[in-house]
Amino acid sequence: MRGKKIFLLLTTLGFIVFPAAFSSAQTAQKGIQISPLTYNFEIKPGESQTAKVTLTNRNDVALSFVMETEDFSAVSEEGAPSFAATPKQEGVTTLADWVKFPSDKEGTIEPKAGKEVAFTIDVPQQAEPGGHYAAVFAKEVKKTPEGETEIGVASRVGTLLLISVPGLVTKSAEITEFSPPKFVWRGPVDLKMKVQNTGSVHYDSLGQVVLKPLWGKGSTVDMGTHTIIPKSIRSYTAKWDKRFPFGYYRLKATAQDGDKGLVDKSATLIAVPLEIAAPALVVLIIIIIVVKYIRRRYRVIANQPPAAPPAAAGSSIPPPSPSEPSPSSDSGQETPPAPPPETPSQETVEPAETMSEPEPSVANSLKDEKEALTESVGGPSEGGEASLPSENTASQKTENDLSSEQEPSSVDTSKRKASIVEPALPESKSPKGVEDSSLSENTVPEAPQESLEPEQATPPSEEITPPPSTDEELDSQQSTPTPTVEEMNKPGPIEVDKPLKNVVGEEGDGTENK
Amino acid sequence: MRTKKIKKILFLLGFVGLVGLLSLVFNSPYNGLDRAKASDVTLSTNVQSYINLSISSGSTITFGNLTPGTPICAGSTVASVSTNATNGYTIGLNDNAVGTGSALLHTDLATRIADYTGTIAVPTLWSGTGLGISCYAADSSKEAAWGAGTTLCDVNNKYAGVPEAATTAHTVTGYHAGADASSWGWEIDAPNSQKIGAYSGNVTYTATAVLL
Repeated sequence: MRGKKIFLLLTTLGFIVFPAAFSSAQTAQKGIQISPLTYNFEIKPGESQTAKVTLTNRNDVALSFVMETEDFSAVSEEGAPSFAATPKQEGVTTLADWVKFPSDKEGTIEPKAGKEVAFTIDVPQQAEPGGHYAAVFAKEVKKTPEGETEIGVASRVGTLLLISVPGLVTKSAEITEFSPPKFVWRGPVDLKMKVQNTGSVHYDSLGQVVLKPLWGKGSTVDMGTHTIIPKSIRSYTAKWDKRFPFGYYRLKATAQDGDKGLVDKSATLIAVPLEIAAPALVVLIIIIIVVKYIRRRYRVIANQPPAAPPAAAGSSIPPPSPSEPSPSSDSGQETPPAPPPETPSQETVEPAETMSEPEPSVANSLKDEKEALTESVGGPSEGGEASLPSENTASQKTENDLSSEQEPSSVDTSKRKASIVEPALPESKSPKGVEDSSLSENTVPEAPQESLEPEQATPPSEEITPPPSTDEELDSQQSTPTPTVEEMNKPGPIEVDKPLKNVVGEEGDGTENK
Repeated sequence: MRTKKIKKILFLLGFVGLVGLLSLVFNSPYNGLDRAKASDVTLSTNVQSYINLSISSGSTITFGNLTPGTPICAGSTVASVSTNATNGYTIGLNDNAVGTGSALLHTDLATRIADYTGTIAVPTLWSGTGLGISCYAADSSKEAAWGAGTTLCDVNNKYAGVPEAATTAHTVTGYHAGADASSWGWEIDAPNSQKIGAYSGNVTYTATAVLL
């Protein structure tokens, strides 16, 4: 209630104090007015057409006017007629000349009154078939100021005349431009095309764009209807109001010519709505990360050694499947080539005193491993940085296996270590070839140590001996009972505690203990 | 007794039947009342298209005394257009002066002050002499060609000479209810060689509809 009162008070004050502020609303009701805006006639040569325009004086004073005609031969792309004078050939008449005002061309209109002004279009017999364009104007007569340097502004309003003279006419059209965006992130999509009238008479042309996706239902966008006069180009614009277009679209723009035939032009469009694509991408990345994480976790859990003592588990463990994928390959780590599962494992070999007669296959494998070791020592390791820790792991693995298999705890660990050095070397190429590595804390921290006697359960780091880098080192490291390669190549007894495949860990994952 | 009972029953049945009949009659779509309601009066009219142009201010621009070499930013003209044209309207300018002469004609009826060199197609920032015009403000879609100025005499306004024939200087597309105004600023300067005296003339603003 109070607000209403204040509003009324302010409005009244406004009218009293600022009358000029409200004058602009009234100005719209002043000036000179003409109606209608266009006439569209088809007139045969030699015939006439009568029409009229209604003039209205919206001013408070009488208005003097004069009727004028002017040709136009072009319109802008928006449809604005251009009355710029075009040179006329001598003896040639135009539509502006064909328009006659039977009554006086000049007159006066009383304030707030209207007046009808009739005119006739007399098309001459020799009129060229096709389109003819002009405007009928009502111009306010303004006295030219005198005495000072000043300029007077007169206003003029017009009715457009579009006349077609039948005969041999063409009504062809051409789409001169259709270039929708090639790629959009979101809708709506702005569509624009330009159509030129290549014929000789004006016509109304309906423009459309058909958008067809690779799959699914297409859409049709109505570009509107424009009147195109000969040689002029009209611009069609519209929006495809699809908020989230997605995919590859084939676009076909069509425009009607004067005979209702269609001309067309094609284009393509790729739409990827950012509002959908970005979150989807993020979700996808998250899913991939989660899946990878879960897979890795699963493998780590699956690869953890059982709680049972390794010695007991050793013989009962089923052999790992050679076809089982390596976790290292999953994680994308570069891994040296894995030795075949049937490679003779030093873990299965008893200390030197029991290796009097190795089996030929085992001996050959050991020889191969020796050669491989020589290669790896002679040149830079292919595994690079990854090979160093793996050497430790490999030797630890071997040692551990031995410790778990050799029940007599009185066996000197250094001796065992020496005995395993030779066969362990080839394992240096398999960085993660550790099985049941009770000595390797970096592979399986909770590796079982229970199988060892208390005095043997020394920290793994003390037990680990760096692998020899050369043959000399290798030989020097070998203790007396440890067989050399040559010795190992000699036929002699070899004691194999358990199947090799039970002991050899899977390449790259040595903790495989399933 | 029985006859009395039968009479009662018959009366009741008759009453109920009458009520039902009346109900049917009044609810029928064919009854007179409903027919009277349903018979619409067809009204039709054809709204004529029109365009109205009003020079709401600045119908006469007085430049005063002009000193050659000192430009005068004289004043503005506001053109207000009302139309119900579906596709919009256009404003054209012309002065009926042949060639490079402006509308300003000396009292000797021979000498003119020249048009400013910028054209409506390519207006330029004020530099030089002549009579120039600039659209510095518009309710709808002021053309970028007229420069970045927003007020009268803004140094960023771009000017054009007024051509002889009506040339489109401002176009508003689409339907606009009510009046749509555009403001035009005038600027003038003359060379030292300009003949002394008073100059005057008319410039015409032409409003037409944009073609469908």
